[in-house]
Amino acid sequence: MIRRTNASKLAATVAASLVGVALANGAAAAELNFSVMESGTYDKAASQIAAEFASTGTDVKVFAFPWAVLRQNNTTDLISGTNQYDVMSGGYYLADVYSYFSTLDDYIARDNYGEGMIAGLLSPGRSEFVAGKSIGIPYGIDAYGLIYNTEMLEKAGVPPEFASWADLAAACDKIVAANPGTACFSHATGSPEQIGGFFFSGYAGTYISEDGKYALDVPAATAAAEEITALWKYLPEKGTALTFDEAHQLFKDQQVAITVTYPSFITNSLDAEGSPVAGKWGMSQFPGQGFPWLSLWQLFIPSATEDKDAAWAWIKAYAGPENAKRNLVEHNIGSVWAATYEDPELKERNAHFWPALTAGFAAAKNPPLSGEAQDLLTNTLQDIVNGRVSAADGIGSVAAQWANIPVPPAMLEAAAGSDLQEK
Amino acid sequence: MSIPGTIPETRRPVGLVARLERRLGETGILLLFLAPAMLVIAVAQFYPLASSAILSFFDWSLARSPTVGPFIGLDNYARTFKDPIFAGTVTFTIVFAISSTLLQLACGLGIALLTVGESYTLRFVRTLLMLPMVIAPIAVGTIWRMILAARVGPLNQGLAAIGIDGPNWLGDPMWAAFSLIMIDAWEWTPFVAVTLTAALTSLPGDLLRAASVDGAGRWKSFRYIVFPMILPVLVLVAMFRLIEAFLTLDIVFTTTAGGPGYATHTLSFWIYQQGLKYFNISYAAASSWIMLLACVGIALAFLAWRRQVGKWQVSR
Repeated sequence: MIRRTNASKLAATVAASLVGVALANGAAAAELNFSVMESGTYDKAASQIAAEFASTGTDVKVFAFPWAVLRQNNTTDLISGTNQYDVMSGGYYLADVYSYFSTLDDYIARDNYGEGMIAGLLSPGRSEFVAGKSIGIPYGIDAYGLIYNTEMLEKAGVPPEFASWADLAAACDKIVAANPGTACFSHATGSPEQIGGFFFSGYAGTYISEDGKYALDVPAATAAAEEITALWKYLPEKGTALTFDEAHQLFKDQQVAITVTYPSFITNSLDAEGSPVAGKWGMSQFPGQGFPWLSLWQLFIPSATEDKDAAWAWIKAYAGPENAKRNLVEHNIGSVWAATYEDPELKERNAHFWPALTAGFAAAKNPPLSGEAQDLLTNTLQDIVNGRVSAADGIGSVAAQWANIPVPPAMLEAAAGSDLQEK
Repeated sequence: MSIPGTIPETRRPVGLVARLERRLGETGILLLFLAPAMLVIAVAQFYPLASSAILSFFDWSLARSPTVGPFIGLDNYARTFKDPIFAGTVTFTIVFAISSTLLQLACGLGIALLTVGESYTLRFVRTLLMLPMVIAPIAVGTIWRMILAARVGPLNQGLAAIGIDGPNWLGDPMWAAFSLIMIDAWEWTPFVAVTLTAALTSLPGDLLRAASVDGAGRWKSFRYIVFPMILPVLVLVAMFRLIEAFLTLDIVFTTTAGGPGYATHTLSFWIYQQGLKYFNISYAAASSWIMLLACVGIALAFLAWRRQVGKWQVSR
């Protein structure tokens, strides 16, 4: 009997302790899970700001993944209903799952959030919308850029102005002749989707037909693909599977005169102490009649997020104007706030590339393509430049197969907003 | 003393089991004990198979809707056969699977013949040769991707040191395909070698000694005794490796990501992309069933061939 009483007491004590722990946990700081790209920039900034943000009573856990893994994890998390992430980083390639995100119009209106942002960024075709309502908050902007070595171009007597990829290919002959032992340009050719940067700028047509289906202006697209194929001959020897790092290193080592890349990936290191190209590089207007490929990282709140107010507070802390300068200087995250580009100190320091960079921001767009439609296009472009298929056959095949890929409704809005739908 | 085929007295069950046995009989109780395992297999294997077969006749993209769309009959299958990328993928998969399997069989047989024996050195060499097989395929792909980097990778650096201009391993479509075949063969040749070593070890020594006494050299012994005797094992190993090569996904994912372009897309990689990247669930299900049926066909053909080999051995 005594034993049984003691056992009951023990059980009651354990139960009380467990309840106490549970209550204590409930009273402790709220938790938010944040998914972001593992780039050494966005994730580092997130960890830095998360540490400061803890003082608000919300503990933000940063989950960082390489781009392709982040895209897959975000999509799977939403579709499977796992609901692991309360705030997600992403872009237009999440179009298939836009319906899983909360609209943010009320928060934006309440806090007048778009005030001071680069003009047009918080509008359809640049940031993300569903049924006319905003779902994505921009926090990092970049646009494909053409970075050149001033000495190598001067030596060749080539001015850094290229109206098209054909112009650049013509200049490449002179550049290579004037700089023996080097190649004309480098690019992250090993990342299959990146060839899109050349196509989107070289192709001036639309991507969606009047009746809302994926469609290309086949002759114009074929011409663009042929221009890219001609340009590919000026890559370094065995340069058709370069990583971003390899492509950048070739430019830093002055083994190529030009690199075509996202500027935020490289500009800080070009000006760093000891850089062999410090003081002898610049950025030119991006060639082509189309548009420079926009990289606009946005933050999304899934509909399943429980504490949306805390999620919004985190978005403001991470993406707001307060941390914009620090994010740019320390992590090279392109600021979405106009004031950053008016900062006198930064303006002077970056005078050699900011004019072209900001002009690129103004012209840059996202193609209104779902991940599947974009992969089909870029993989086929890779086949074209590698000679597996002719430009005409490859583009014809893309046009035919796009007919089977449904256009997510949000993409129709984006295409209309960015003038990329046939009228 | 117990009667053969019955449970000895000392091992006869007691209590609940005994009562159940009396009610259900020996077969009944065996089935009862097997039932949980059978249920697990049914749920874990047959249910997904049946489910995917049913889904393949519907139109369902998980990205568009969480619920299954309308019944569309054989449309997904028709679309698969009309898809030019699928056709290219099938062609590459066949070339990859056959080349890789043949390479593994040739190298594996060679290694087995060279390392058969029980000496300490041979056992050590066999253990060493098995290492590629025990590395996770994802790691294998990642390691090889670094080794094969055309401009900075150690392989081309090494070749350059001896005056050879190494190829653009992963950037050229033909070399990328060749690289994948080599990587797969490198990883799985040890499996073939170990299996064939076991087969060689089990050959009757008397027969080989008798052949030797009769004047048969090493080649004749191999051709007329060893090879015919290990042929059934060889056929079985070829079947395993060919089917496994058809299902290759991991090294493709980590080494070439199916590129450049569509040059190294395998069937599994294609299905993975359709199902788990673009969430075209029913289309991926139809493609999976086509692959499953192809693999079953291969297995049946190999088993029939093995039966023929068995009959041929008996007739000799």
